[in-house]
Amino acid sequence: MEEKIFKYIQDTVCEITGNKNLLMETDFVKDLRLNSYDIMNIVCAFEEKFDVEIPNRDVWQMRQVKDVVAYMIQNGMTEV
Amino acid sequence: MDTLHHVCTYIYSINDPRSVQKRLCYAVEDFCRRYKFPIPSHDALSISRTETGKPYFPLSPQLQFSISHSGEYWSCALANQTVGYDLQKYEQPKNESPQEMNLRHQKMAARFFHPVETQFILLDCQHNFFTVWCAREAYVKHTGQGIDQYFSEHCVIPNNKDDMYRISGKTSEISWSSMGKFFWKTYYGDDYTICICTDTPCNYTLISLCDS
Repeated sequence: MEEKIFKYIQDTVCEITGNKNLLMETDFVKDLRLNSYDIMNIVCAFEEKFDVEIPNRDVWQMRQVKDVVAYMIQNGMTEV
Repeated sequence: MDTLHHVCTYIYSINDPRSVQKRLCYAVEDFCRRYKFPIPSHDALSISRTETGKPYFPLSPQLQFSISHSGEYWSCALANQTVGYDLQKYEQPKNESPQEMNLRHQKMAARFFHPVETQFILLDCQHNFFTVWCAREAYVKHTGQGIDQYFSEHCVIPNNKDDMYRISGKTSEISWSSMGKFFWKTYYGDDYTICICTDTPCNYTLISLCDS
């Protein structure tokens, strides 16, 4: 399941920001140089896909790809 | 010593080889020379962060700064009062038409913005979205609260139709006030919107260091 979720995150980030090379340890700000606008675009794509609202306070806790994978599993966002 | 309020924004290439600390030190020295403020030692420019992540100089509180990056640039604003700053590239994604991009921005606005701001965006989505985005970012960086659960409750656009129309569209070097703060917006090149938020009106200067 983790692999499928990882692939979904990879595809979404690539579509929105053009960044292709993601690893579980990739840091969205330090490694990909994403800013708030990029991150909020990604959040909107996730919210639309899973029909949920991700609280702003949760967004800034997720620094690396693996944090997003863990969050999605924990919150039942697994139908990718 | 100059007692007026000044803000200088320094724009570097995102690939500038200097560290963030060195870029800030250069900006501080230039800012202090320009306005005849005492230049702090490099030791006095160590950076700390508040609990919400706002960076500051604990040993040089007379100097305030705010950092932003987007596209090809990394940038900081230096000021002699509290400042919030944002720079954002306007980029049309290859897989999206201008209409689709506007629709995406309207959805983002409905999710994250105040209803008055959402109305303002409908006047000219292409330009007004980034005016609001940058002003909101500058505001939350000024207050230090960041993008939290109260993000949608702020309205950075004047709730007055005349002022709203005055700042709508591709208007360069424009200022307004909202929520007791002062906002100044301009463009850098064709693609970048810049916004600064301060407590009082300031003398604004933009310095490009991309070729140095």
